[in-house]
Amino acid sequence: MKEQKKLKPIWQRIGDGLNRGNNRIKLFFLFLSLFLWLLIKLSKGAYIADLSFPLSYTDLAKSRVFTESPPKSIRLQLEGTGFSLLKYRWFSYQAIEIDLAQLKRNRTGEYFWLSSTGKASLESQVNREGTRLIRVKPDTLFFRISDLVKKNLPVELRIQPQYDTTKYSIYGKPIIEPSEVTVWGPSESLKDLDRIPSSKYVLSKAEDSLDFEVDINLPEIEHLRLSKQKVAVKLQMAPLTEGRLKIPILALNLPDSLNMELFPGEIEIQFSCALPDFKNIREDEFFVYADYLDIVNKPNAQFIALRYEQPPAEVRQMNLLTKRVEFILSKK
Amino acid sequence: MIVGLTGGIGSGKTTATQIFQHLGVSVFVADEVSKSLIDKDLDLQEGLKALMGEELVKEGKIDRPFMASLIFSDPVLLAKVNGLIHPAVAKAFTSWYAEQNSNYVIREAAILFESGSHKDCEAIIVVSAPEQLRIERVKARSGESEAQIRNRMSKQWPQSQKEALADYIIQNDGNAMLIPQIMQIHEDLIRRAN
Repeated sequence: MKEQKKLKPIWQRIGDGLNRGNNRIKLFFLFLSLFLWLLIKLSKGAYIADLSFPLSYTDLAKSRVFTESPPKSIRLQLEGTGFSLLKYRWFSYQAIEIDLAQLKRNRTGEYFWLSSTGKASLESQVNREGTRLIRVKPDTLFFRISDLVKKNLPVELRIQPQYDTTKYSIYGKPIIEPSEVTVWGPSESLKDLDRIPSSKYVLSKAEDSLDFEVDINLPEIEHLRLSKQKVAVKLQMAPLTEGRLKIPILALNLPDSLNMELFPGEIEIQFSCALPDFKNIREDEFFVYADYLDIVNKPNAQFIALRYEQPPAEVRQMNLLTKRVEFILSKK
Repeated sequence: MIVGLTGGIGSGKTTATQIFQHLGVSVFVADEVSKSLIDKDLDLQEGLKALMGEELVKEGKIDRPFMASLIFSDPVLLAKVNGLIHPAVAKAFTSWYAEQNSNYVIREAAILFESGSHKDCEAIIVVSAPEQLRIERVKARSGESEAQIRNRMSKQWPQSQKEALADYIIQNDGNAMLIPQIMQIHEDLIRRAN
């Protein structure tokens, strides 16, 4: 019987072929010539590549801050030898410095940097490797920068009552020490800030007078700094009492040529106020009125709705016991 | 012509009389007159002092809370006090009526029937409102409890009894307008007076 020959795998057959005779020497010289060709190609000639560089910023005045993160990278189109470009692409991630002293400002208050103005600086940073800067993308960088300013703001006390608010109330204006705090921050952010709220203080039971400290609730604005983190508060409380007064109804917007009789002509109001204020509440501090224009606007209306003006500050709650009245209009 | 106007507490008698007054009708408000009389009529004050003691009058005026505390739980005393006040009010009405020259006059009284004053009236108007609404109105204006209001109501004739004797009933339930009802009654009373 003939002995059957076993076929070797293909890689073994290639390996065997290369090891055979002078094939190894031929292959060595082939790779050497390719390598030398590559070195010659990379060291000569002008290649162009778009490369992304990280950005770093210098010379931002201490009195200014970024209110939005500045651009993190820039794309530069560079011309240079293959070696220099490969070096930038693979090895060198040196950040490009942008000098913020050169910033300009547009009409909307936004700061910007023009590549045309900063080109010399950019070139000096990339020409070290024998490359030439062709183009910058984007050609303009925009920045949100704000001046750091100082502002004195009143502290707004925030109380979360857990006592019976129908029976007790804070009496008078709480004394806050200090009543104002100094805030440093970006002018844009501070522009609309007219008070600094305290954190919520839970007032669980009504007492005649209370002394406590409360934290200031720092608004979530970057670069904000406060002169104080806490304020001391003194406040007084008083029981609430209910009162009733009879108030004449005033006619509003009534033409001189007409009389408007209202039935009833006066109504009772119910209000609540702090007990110490009760004796100071006067009838003439309340204004309840019927507006003639309501009749003009609703000629078929049978009743006229009553309205009232804001009661005196001491009054916590006010209620008209009659909400609408009947009327007779007559010519004078 | 004398027209009596009555209604339970909280029924809206005052507003109704204001509308009549606006129409040019003279109105005699018995409650106001009686309040004024007990402070001004010295003979009446003497009579009341004889019933309730010298301490009833302070600085020439009746101590109303004191008087109320005495008559609240004493129906006999209440009847005696009414026996003094009602004739004085009737006398005041007679002299007031003599001075009026309108087609008809209105005599407004919460207890028109209870005091017997209705006998002098040629027509009776009853202002009527649902009981619960009346209670709410009084509660809102006086701050009294429902029990206190019901107690006061119990001392007056029931609304249905008053309505049975009325010539005119004004519905003041918060929905029906008062003015058209009163205008109609007013026109009818003028016709009757003429």
